[in-house]
Amino acid sequence: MPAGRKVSIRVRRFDPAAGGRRSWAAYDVDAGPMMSVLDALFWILEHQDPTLAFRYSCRAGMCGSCAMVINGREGLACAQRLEHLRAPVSVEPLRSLPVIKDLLVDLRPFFDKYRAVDPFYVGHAAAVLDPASEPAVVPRGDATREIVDRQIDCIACGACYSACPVVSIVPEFLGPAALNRAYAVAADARDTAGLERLRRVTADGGVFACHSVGNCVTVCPVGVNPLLSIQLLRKGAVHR
Amino acid sequence: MPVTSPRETLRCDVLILGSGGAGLMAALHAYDAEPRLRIVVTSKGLIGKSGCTRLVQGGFNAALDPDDSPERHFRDTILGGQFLNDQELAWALVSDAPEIIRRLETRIGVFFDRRPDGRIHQKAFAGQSFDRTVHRGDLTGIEIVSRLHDQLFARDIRRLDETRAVALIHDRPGGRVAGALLLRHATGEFILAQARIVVLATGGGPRMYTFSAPSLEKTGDGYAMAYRAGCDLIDMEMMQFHPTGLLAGASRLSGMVLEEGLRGAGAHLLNAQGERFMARYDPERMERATRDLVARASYLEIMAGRGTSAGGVLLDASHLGADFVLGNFPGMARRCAEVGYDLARAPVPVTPTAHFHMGGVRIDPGCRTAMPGLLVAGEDAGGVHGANRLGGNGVAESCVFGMRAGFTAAELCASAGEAAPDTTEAEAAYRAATTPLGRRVASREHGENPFAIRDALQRAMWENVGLVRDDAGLRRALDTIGTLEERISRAGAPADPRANLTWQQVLDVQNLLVAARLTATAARYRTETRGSHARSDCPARDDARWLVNIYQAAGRGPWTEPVRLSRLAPGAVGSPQRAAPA
Ligand SMILES: Cc1cc2nc3c(=O)[nH]c(=O)nc-3n(C[C@H](O)[C@H](O)[C@H](O)COP(=O)(O)OP(=O)(O)OC[C@H]3O[C@@H](n4cnc5c(N)ncnc54)[C@H](O)[C@@H]3O)c2cc1C
Ligand code: FES
Repeated sequence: MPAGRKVSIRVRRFDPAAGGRRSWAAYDVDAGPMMSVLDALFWILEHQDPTLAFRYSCRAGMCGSCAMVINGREGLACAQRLEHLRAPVSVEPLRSLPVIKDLLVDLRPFFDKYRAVDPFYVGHAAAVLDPASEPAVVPRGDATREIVDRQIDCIACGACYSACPVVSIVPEFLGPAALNRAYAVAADARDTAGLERLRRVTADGGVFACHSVGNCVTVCPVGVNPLLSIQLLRKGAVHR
Repeated sequence: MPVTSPRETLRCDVLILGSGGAGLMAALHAYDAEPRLRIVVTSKGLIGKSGCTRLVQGGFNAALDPDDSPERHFRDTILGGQFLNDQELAWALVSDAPEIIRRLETRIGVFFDRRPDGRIHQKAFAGQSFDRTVHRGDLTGIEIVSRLHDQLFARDIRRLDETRAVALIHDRPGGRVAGALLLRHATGEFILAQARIVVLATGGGPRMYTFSAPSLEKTGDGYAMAYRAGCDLIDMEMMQFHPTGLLAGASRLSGMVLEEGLRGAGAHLLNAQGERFMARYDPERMERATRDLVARASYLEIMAGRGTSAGGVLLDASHLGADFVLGNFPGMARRCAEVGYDLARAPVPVTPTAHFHMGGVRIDPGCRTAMPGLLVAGEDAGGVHGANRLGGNGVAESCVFGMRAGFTAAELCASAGEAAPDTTEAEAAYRAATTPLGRRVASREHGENPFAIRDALQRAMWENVGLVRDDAGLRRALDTIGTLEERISRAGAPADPRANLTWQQVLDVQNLLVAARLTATAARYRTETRGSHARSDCPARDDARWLVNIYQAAGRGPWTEPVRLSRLAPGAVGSPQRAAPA
């Protein structure tokens, strides 16, 4: 893309605390080479509108802070290049989450559900700190570990939560990210919490509420397959 | 919406500022040592997402192998740091690191990559005599921080996401640290937090350079707060540049690091003429020389006109074989592909990038500072790495000292009394922070626009306080910093304090300027070349005069104190490393 090209961006603006209404604002962004949607938002903030609100941290697709809906589909703003997007590029906040301002959403409902599955690993009480001992020996090629290894790549960005149609109509549905974490920790051969922890995910709002639409798989920016985790949990396929 | 002085107050035992490896390890270990403590973690970004520990790619150094040893790790660390390290801190680092790996694996639930026999795999990193870098693929930090974050949910620890610390507050003028003034980003409201112990773990962060690697919200806040609160800062001239920051056109992705393991595995660095230029700078170790040497060599190539048209050099991993590169560095390959480069099959343009600040607040091995009530851990602290940090020792530092800070905090809480933060001091900090609100926001082209001021600072630092320095340039930088300090004091932000990124930027630039001034001042003071500090006007390492640390404090210094060579002296390990730029 030649430097200095203008790209039109439409941003969903909303300021609920000020009693505002949702509206679209259009900007013509000076799009330099390799600029991402996040770079474009910074350009707007720095050159045209000092009140625009959005979230970021790493700018490299690693932290999951910048998920939003770009041209109708969830993705990381820092990982999508303007030159690969159809213009005008539309940018909206994640769905199914309260908007704080503009593109900044309140992730608390998402993390409350994540928390509800007891996402934390539980080690042996007398965990091995003895310098002579070795943490668990897990041979490469262990079949379960290979699945778990892929599923722990989740960066908890909320894209799958936003894209899931069940989340939008069943408020108590835990959602793909939380259920994926539930599988990953339950299937970790080193975990000692036992299958106890799975009670929550097989209850109401758990894995049986999923309709296998698979949007979560499509939008995941890091290639995790939450639907697979949900299916394995449904089958009770967590062996120890 | 009018802003009022802090209406909300909060009382706790341990207040942790920052949620990277250091902050989270401190929180979890303070809690585990004493579950009755009221612990609060507050973070500028989202907890579990923000900071650089999450961005750790290559991995974590620990002497796990029976053929390796903490002594050996120590020696590499001191040689890498060119004897400027605080040797007791470095010893704490290497002797705790193996235990930390065990804790992360067996208690926190982190899963590191395994060798074919099922034991933890360790890979090669530059500047080390043994392959001791533990990792998870080439995106190690995501796993470490995600699992630490999960553990917060298992404990009764209060969290304040997107709530930045604005200032440390004493109990009275010249007294102990008794809390901090906090600012909630979403609502623009201030909180005056009272704590028996404050742990500063905001991760330093050299974002005052044109090209830099850290996460965007890190703006030297910890240094600035500690400096204003009266702490000593050590070795602020020691700024590490990573040799292989990706060049990504006009994107902020530029400066993000392509990990060191690539060079560890044998990737080459080429100039525009296709030469492996490291042959001229360190023929023996070539691309596996320490970061300071490789970054400086790249810089000198670029300055000598042998850089690419994009202003960088080339990192070439293609001869390692596409399968090998894609198999071992999938994260790096994906990052390159996103901006149109094929890491597995063709050279990728890279530039040196400001990566890590070795300098920081002076601490002891228990993370105590000279200021009662204040502990410091992670990148905010100085002294562990001396003049140059080894790759893989950064995340080790944040986890080791985070844990130590947690234990020290729990121990101190048993005896530390409670003191209320001085409301006059808090009020003054609050007024200073809110001054920009409602002032006109100048355009970038005319007047005091915070983004334009940041850009000017980054340019001045890159040009004058970068990879090769001299007195004239450092003086120029200090002049520019003076002008920018003046300008930022007049900068404005929209009146509504809620989710106000422009206001945050003004506060950020104020802090960056403090860190920049400390860096440039110490760099001017040290008239020798050592580690990552290279002076073209003083190109030799001078142990007779400069085996000293440089300290600065508000209204004091710079002054020097000799390095305590408590465990290893330069003569004892054969010839010192090559120091001078070519
Ligand atoms: C791209 C990259 C790759 C790296 N790779 C490696 C590697 O492979 N191996 C290695 O050993 N090291 C590596 N490092 C270095 C390593 O990341 C750091 O040394 C280490 O993570 C610092 O940890 P920390 O806990 O001190 O700070 P961080 O992890 O950076 O955390 C800082 C926290 O403080 C918060 N914060 C900032 N300001 C404030 C404020 N005012 N108030 C409250 N909170 C605040 C931030 O939001 C964040 O949560 C890498 C660094 C980068 C940038
Ligand atoms: S800013 Fe971290 S994923 Fe986009």
